[in-house]
Amino acid sequence: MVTSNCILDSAFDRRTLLRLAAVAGVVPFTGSLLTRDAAAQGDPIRVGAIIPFTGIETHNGLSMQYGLEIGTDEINAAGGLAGRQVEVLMEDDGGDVGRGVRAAAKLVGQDKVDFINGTLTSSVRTAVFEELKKTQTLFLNPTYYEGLLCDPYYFSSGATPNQGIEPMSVFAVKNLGKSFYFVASDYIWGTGSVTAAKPAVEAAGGSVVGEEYVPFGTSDFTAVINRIKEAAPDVVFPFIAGQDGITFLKQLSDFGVRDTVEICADSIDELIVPALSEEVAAGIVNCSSYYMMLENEANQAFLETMRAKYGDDALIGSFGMNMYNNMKLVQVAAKGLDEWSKDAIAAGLREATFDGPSGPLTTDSTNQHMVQNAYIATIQPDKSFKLEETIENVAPQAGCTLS
Amino acid sequence: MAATVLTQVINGLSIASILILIALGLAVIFGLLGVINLAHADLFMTGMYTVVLVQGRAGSFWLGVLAAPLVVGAIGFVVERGVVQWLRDRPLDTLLATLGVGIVLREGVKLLFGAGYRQVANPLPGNVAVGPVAYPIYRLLLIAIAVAILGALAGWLYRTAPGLRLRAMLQDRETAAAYGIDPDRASLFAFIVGAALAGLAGALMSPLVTVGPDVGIIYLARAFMVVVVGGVGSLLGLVGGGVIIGGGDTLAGYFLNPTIANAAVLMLAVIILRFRPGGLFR
Repeated sequence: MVTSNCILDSAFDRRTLLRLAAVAGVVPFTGSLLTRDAAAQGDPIRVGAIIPFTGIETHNGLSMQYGLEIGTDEINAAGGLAGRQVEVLMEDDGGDVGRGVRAAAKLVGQDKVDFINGTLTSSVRTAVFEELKKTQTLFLNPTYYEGLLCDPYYFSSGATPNQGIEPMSVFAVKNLGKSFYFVASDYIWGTGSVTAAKPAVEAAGGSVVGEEYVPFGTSDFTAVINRIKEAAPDVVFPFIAGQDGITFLKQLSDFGVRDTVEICADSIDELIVPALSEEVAAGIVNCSSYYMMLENEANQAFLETMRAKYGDDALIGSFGMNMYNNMKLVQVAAKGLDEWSKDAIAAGLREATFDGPSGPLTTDSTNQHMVQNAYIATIQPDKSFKLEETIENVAPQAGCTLS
Repeated sequence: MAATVLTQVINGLSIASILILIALGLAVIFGLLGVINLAHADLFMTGMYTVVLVQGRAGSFWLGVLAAPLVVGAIGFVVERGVVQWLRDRPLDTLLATLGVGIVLREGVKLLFGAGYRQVANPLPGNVAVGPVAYPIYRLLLIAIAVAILGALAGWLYRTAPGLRLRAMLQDRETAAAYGIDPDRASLFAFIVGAALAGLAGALMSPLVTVGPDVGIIYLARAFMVVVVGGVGSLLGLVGGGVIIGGGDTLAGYFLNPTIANAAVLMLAVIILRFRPGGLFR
């Protein structure tokens, strides 16, 4: 026994072990490289998801993961895309442009994903859009935004300004008051949204008495609130990203201004409300492409699946729902395809329709954004959302077209 | 006009007192131990969540405010014994280690409470008349609390035996040790006090701002600016730094706009440090 142990020891000296380890490490790697080109049929389709799990949009991270994973589960249960199962790779962008771009580069260059689903903050999306253009990677955006991104390989279920801000403005001028004050985060989403909101308010017969831009990470809105007080508008329309938006509402209430103005928004949804007290939240009117309270059958089924999988407390907003919608749209586009090809999927997406929890979606082939519903809802004293108005099948105006 | 001026003065005082509250724990640890505590922001956030927890269970905001310094002080104890004391003479390593502690706290809170935002309602809603100006009661109270805490801390540092020991240690660690002061215990004590102050600040700020796992980081940069501009290691410097940064922010924020105010305050800090590298009040 003792001798045989010695033989084993000498046979597996350190150098041999190192060599073995190196071979073991390399073989699967080259193997995967070979099979990728030769026999792609067995490999899964890889989806790269760019999601803010940390940073100022942390509260949306899980919701986006839920939508993505439920969509993926449904696709895999139905046989996958073009006969191949779907595999998800998630990267955290932290709401940071640099990290978002690095995540995109890694997902495309290293992980060889077949398409990208995700991004939340507009600064990240714009940068990722440019990064993905280099490799013409298929990119689906879930987040409502200021528009202005058009590319043959870019699709957006995220609403354009005319699908959120405009209907909200029209409703607000009619029901809440005539004079408006805008407070926006000082970056592309905030400025772009105000640019869209101003003409919308004025066209509806309202007037703008003030606009204001605040930097990311603003924790004290005293100065801004003082100016709002002096301007005495009927309606405050904030476009303040992430946690700053909640801080703004809380402080608006502290200074007693909440009682003197109406608030309308396109960003105060069922994920934000848990952070607000009843007095602050009640009466806020919001426009979104999705609410958990929507009563259609697809939504009920979706929520049931989500709660069974992630627990009864699980929440989802429009971003998370559009992660799901994006997956389902790809599934629709891949229907009948024998072999996955980026161009075939893009062609399919250009004509895709999907009727899901957020209502019917149809691609507008001129800009590859979705024709979709806009829902206006009021927050009730118990912090639930009550549907006020559904504007059906609004065509997207992205501010650009495919040339 | 008088009302506008008065409003701005109170605003400035309010923001300065909030900044001082937030920077206090950082200043104590930085000033007394020379440790740049990058976990400060997350200790602050942990104080917020202590209020969320206590308010949820016991239904009282003020009980949460009392619990926060105890809970976060206890975390401070663990962090000092477990991490910081082993890195005493390696400032760069404490920087990295406390950054790591911060990440652990943040992700721990996410595991316990979830990543979503939490609600802490204002315990004293409503405004009170200050001359011609109506001002939120809670903010006025915060000014008073900041003054009270500063007074208590000054009294403790300059009028009591433990305070004297800490100051002796700050001046010369080895000589103090030769006189029978246990620097190890004094350091531990300073770290716990600093952490408890961070927790208290978080608890007191929770009704005014968003409560979420990642919010602390917003305050870290400002708190550092207050400490550095005022001068490390002096309470007077802290007050001075708070008033300059807070006042500058209020004035520039009101007369210009918040984005420019941000830049202007940063410029001001750079200019001050160019001419007084040790801080204004040193």
